[in-house]
Amino acid sequence: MFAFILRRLLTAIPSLLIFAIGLFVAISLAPPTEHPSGENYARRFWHLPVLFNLQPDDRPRVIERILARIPTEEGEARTRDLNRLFRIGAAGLPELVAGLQRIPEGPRARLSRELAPLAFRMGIDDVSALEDPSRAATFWARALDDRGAELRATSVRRALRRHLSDRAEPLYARQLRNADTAILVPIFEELRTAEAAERDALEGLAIAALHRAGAESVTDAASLRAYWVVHRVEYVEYGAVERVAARITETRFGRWVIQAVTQRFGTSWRTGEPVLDDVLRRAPITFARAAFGLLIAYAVAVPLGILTAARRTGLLDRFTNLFLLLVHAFPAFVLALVARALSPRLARTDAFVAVALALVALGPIARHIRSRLLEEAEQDYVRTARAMGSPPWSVWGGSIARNALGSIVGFGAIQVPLILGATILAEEILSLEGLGPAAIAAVRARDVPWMMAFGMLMALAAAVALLLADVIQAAADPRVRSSMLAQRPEDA
Amino acid sequence: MKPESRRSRPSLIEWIVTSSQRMRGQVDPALAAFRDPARLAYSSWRLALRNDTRARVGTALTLLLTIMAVYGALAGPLVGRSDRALHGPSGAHWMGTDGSGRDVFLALVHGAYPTLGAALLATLGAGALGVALGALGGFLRGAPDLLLQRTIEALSSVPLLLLVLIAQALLPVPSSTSLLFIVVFTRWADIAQVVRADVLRVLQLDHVTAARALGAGPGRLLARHVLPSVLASAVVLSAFSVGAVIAVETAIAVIGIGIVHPLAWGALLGQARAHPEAWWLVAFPAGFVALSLGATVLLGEAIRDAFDPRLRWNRVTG
Repeated sequence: MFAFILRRLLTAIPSLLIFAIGLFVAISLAPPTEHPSGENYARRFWHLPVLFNLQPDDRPRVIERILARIPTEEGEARTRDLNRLFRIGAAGLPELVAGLQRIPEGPRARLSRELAPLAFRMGIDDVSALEDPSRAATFWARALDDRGAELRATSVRRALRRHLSDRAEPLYARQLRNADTAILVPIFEELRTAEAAERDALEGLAIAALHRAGAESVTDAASLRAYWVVHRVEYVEYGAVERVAARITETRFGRWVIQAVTQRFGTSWRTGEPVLDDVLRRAPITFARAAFGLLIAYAVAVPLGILTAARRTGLLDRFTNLFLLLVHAFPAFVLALVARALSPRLARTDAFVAVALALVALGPIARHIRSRLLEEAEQDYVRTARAMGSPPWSVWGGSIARNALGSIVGFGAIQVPLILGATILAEEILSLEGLGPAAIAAVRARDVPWMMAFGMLMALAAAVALLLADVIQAAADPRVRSSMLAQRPEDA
Repeated sequence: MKPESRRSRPSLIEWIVTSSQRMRGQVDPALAAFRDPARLAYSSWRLALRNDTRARVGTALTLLLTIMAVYGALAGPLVGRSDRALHGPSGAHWMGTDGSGRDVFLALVHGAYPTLGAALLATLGAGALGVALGALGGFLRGAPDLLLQRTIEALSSVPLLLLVLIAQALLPVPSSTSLLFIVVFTRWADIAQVVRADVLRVLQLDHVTAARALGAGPGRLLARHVLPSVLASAVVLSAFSVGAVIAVETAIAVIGIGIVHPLAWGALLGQARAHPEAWWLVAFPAGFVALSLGATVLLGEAIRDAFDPRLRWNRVTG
């Protein structure tokens, strides 16, 4: 039995994965609602491809690209690229110097001069060389020669440790200050293991460095972390393994998965609240409604199905037939609309919602029970049991019901997504508390994290329902256990 | 037995003989289905009309709705009078007027074509896609089948309506046509699942083994021997599916996400959310939605019984 459950669980995982990817791609079909220059554009990873990033960016690539286009740029575009170079700062000095060698002399001298503020940030006060075009280019090469050692991660880390043990000592503070943005990567590595007291100091150093580098959005620890999530790639250099991994992680889907795992599905774009908290607060209400509806549906459908299967003619059968037809003709949301028009107070009670939902599931379930029972009743073993003189209650309750039980329960599992969908619609129309109104609002606002979390929850609920149904079926019928485990009860 | 290849094109004499037999009603129904599915469908439908109340009611309702749709599609544009907004039912306006002063009854007649036609079209598309993919999956087995199964599972584990809502709200240019495509895209899975199971079952049957032994290739096997026996359940499921599509379409219009045809019945129902006191805006559109859903169920059941009398609800047992 344990092996059965385990194997069943394993088959559910690919479905969930396909579902997540499919849903994400569907959601990504829509163009971004944010303007590319806005802060939210990068924060929501609109600049990344959806599923595969064939050429993931890291610091050398970003700098190389900027240097390749900056000689021909003027005006606003040039300012923007210069600002990016300033934001990367001294961390990118080796790539900057190497790149400067490759561009023609005139633009090289101009760009070298324009980078002067970076020299001040690094504590180089004498920038007179930059005024002379012939010496401007060698200025940065010399700066790298002088300061390159201090910019390396090992020396920055050593300086950090010494600074933390003796914060009054100005030597290390100055060294860290002169290392500019090269301290960021070591700091975030240290932050993983740092204690609370050191944490504040480290964050303070990083905030100060980024503030000098012109990253205006960074003001406190929270905004620092947000900045690092988006811009980390501009400060690190990938190794071979990291580059391969980045092809998958540096995509919008990859970023969503990372957020989902590490940060409780991220924050809602609409409300700014953590998504998982919001969804989990609303889910129990909606799920309780749906479960209650399903229970009522079964409570009515089982006797109805058995009665109509046992007595296939007559008034009861005709009446049931008509009743089920009516039930089918009025979906739950139409019932909700009608009830709202009749009596708004009654329509908003839990009892009404449960009954309306039960009616949705009632028809299919009753039909299924009836046809399954009829199918079993025609089997040879039933005739044998009758011939041997078993009373009807024993034939129906013992043989037939037991054989049909698995598929009847399994059918309920298939109804779970349908009834959940009906619940959400009814909640929206009656404006009740629950997942419904929030889900519709999220769809309207194109709140990707919320929709993804919601979709995953729905898929998970359906998967769990199917799993439970299969387990019950396997418990009721040893044949199922031994046969192919992934078989689904086929809808008759 | 004749060689397999000869059977596909009956000679003229053979054709005259079989059609004269058919005309005298002397042909085996199974053979008739094999040769001429449309004729079998027609004759079993006539049989159902004679014996079955549900088939009669369903056909009558369908005819009524079809006439409505055709009339609405041919009639001129529907103009509202702003001085008559939200009047209750009266002699002049049998079912009252809506928020923009249109006669509700006329709006329903005009909305029949966008509502029902779209549902029918979407179901046809989903049916075709479902049959094609389901048959391929069941026939090819292996990796394609596995991918198909997982995809079906993923698609059917989410409420249909939600997928439609999300996709509809997110498509670059939402329109009533894109709604059709989305419904097709989300709806094929049910049909594909049933068709796949059926193909797997039929492939085990003797006549398929016989055809295979006679040297029929995969294409011929699928087209001549498997698909005809599988189509029945696909047709039945599609008939039921029309109702589901109508419901989804209406729900989307009521919620007001994405664009549904402005005349569709759901749009009228959606107005009722803004005007809760106007009961006629709920009652009559809901009634027509219920009528069309009922018609699809009745017709679907009649078709299913025609194909599989064993499941008949009112069967008299011996």
